Amino acid sequence: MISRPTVEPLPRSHRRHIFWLCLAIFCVALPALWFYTTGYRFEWNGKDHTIVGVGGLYISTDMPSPHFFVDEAEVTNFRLFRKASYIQNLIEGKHSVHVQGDGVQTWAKDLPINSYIVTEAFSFNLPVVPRVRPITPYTTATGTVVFQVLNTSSLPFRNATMTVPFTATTSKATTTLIADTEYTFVKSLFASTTASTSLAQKIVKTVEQGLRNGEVATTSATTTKEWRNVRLYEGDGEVYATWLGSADKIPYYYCVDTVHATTTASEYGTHVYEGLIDTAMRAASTTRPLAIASIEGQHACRDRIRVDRKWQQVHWFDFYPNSTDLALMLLDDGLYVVEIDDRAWQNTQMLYPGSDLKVVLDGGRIYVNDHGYYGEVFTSLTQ
Amino acid sequence: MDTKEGLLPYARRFDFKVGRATELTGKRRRFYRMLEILPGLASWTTVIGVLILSNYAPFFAAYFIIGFSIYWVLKTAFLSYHLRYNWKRLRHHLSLNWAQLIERFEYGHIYHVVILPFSTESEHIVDETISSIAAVHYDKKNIIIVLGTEERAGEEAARIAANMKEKWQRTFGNFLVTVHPADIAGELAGKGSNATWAAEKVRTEILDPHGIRYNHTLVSIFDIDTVLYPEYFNCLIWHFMTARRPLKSSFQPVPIFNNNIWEAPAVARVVAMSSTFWEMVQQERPERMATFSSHSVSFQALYEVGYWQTNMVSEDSRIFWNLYLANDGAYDVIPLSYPVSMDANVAPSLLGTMRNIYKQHRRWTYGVENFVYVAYHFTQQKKIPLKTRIGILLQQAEGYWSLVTNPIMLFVLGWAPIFLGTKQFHHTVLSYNLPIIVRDLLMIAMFGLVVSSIISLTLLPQRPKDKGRWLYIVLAIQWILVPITMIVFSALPGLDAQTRLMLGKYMGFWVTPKNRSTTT
Repeated sequence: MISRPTVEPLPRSHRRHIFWLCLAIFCVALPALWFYTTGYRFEWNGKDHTIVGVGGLYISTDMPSPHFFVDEAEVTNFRLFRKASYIQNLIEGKHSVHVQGDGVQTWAKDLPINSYIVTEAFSFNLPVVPRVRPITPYTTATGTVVFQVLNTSSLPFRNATMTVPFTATTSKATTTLIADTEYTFVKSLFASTTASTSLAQKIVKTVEQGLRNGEVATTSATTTKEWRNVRLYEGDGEVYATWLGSADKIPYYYCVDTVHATTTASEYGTHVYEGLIDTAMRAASTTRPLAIASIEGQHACRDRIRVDRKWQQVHWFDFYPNSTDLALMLLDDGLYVVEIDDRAWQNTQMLYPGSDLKVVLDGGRIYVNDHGYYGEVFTSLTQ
Repeated sequence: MDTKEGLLPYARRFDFKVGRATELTGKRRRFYRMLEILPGLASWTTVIGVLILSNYAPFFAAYFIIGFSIYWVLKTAFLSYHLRYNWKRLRHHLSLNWAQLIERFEYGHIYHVVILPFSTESEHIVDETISSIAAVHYDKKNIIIVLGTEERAGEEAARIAANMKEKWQRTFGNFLVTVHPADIAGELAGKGSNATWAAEKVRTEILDPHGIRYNHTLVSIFDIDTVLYPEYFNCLIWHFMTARRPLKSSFQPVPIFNNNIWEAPAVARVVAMSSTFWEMVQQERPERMATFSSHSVSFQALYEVGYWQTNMVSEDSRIFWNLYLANDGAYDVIPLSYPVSMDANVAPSLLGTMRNIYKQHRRWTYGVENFVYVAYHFTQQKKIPLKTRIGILLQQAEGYWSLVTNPIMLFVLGWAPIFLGTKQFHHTVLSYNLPIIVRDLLMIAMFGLVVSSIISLTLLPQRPKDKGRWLYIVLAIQWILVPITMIVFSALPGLDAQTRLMLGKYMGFWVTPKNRSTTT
């Protein structure tokens, strides 16, 4: 017969051993994790087992299932945040980054990566085949869009996929059809915009101004757009984006992390370095919050970026809906989305092709007038 | 007890039972007040300090948070190990025939005084508690039931007490109903004052008249919702008989808050089980234990310190510190690793349950007043070795500090540098890796919850017929609520309690309402 419980209380020596074991793990794990999170990695490959510093890449995207490629190799072990992906362990230097997806255009950028620093970027991927929801004066009783055309073989929006059922008719009869109030509304939008009503006049005016300056005008869009502390405006025949807000809120692509005359120019382009110098010089004589006496070796920012117009004439521009990172530009051969980020080439993707187009933005929707046919242009495959 | 007769020398001090700074004068008052401010100040300084660091020194804050997360993982593993071990021991103790184990001892001369302080609880709760005592495997003639009622509870409490006496007095050796008078000067209305009144009544009306020696009497003070397991007194006797210094020891069972667990919402179940688990962990670290809730102690020891304090809230733990100080540190808490069942905090509505849990935990965490008491007396009681005093104080300080700050730092402030840090910090790999590494470490720490989940399922009472089997799945996965319960029902009430003490807004005793189905 037992005289005492066989399961004794946990011996103190045993507890002490566990405590020391935990302490030892703590002492090993703490510096290891500190170094790891800071961006130090032990290089296992190669002959020299050394500790190297790595950087990261943080790419925001609206695409549901993006494929990331860094230096032509697909990255699968990225950390997914809500609408962005974080790619780690990138060695210092310039890296070629691609973001791809099925049915969408590829976003590509050469970005410099610095050790212990994360480079941010925003990728946008518009549909390869433009997607348009036609808006016609009439629809059928079931809601099918009706195109009234001269002959049924010459349908509008030929370069795009139409996202709703439609039918074409040569008949002018409308008794069996239902008038679409949206058409009336969209038509009124175009009627009330200066872009559609005075474009010809503006072109004449701009060309005259350009001739006075001894050069050919490259833009006919003279409006200025401001949204969320960014101003899009035309100047010297170019379209610029200027940051108007405070220095601590400035978007990442206006800035570089460490500024050196040679490396900044080679990594980001001469235009970036010149932009920094220009901003610094202007700041020295003003009280702008971006003022910096000397930008050498510092994290420094410009306040102005030129938006690429693909050597074409800009007929109209505005912010891409709900974004201050992208601009919509109506050029000679179509409507484009251009990223403002110019740290490498500015990605320019065609949203809708065509000449003599007219574009209106309303409530985050992009409407296009393609030779008298109205439609809403979609920016993603899921719309 | 009005006189100092029978008290140990240290217990005769005028400040032995100090409850708050206002009861002292001069330097002592200022010192005690400073000690009252200290815990709240330390916790607020930590919380605000991490916020300030996150803003002005985000790199330092980030490194601190990483270190803290590692510490948390290891602490979870360390405590889970203790929990698992105690679970094993608890099950072993439940399986033992303690009556057989104590056959070799002479214990017939030992009486058990069971004090049941109650206020406004319903009759069936009181009845179930006494029923469980009547069902123990022990000679009931050696058990004296003391039903401690409150005068302020009115006629209903008196009626219940009379009914209980009528029903049970022939079952036990004696059945005494005491009525604690309302508004005794200097007393705080609560369990401590009721229990002290009852203990003195037992002494003068039963022990002394019957010549029962104090050192042959074990007092078990049980919350009124305590339901005993059949071998409780046998287990208690075995530990009493084998204790190094039985008259200088308190005996602590494991309170399992599961009487009404099937009626409780998930949040109440998690909180209740977490409290149980904490006590189980402590059972394997007896040197860190103070008595909590229901426990047993010799009448001799109680008499030598004048019973429980009547002027403060957390008398269940304070009595241990009274005993420890009065006995010059030669006093132990002996873990029984044997359960008693108590009620989970349940109100008729979910919101009411949450409100009650918050208030109950605020009362429990107001136990920080014991830190003040201990720190004060450790400067006076020089017979306890300095090293021991410092060790205990550090343990106590760490306990109350971590109770409040750890959950907040882990689940809220861990992300502060990301939101508050400088722009320079936001561009770094460290900034991006911080949430990833903290989240991963917390996920590892969550494995400790798997242990908790498994153990909790084994501690459940039999499933009522009206409850489906699917509830077991809910009971298993309910532990994902832990991050929320830790903040809402541990850190916040703790911070609330410490802040009140810091500001001198002293708390009163709040009686947890008991809601239990009559069918259980």
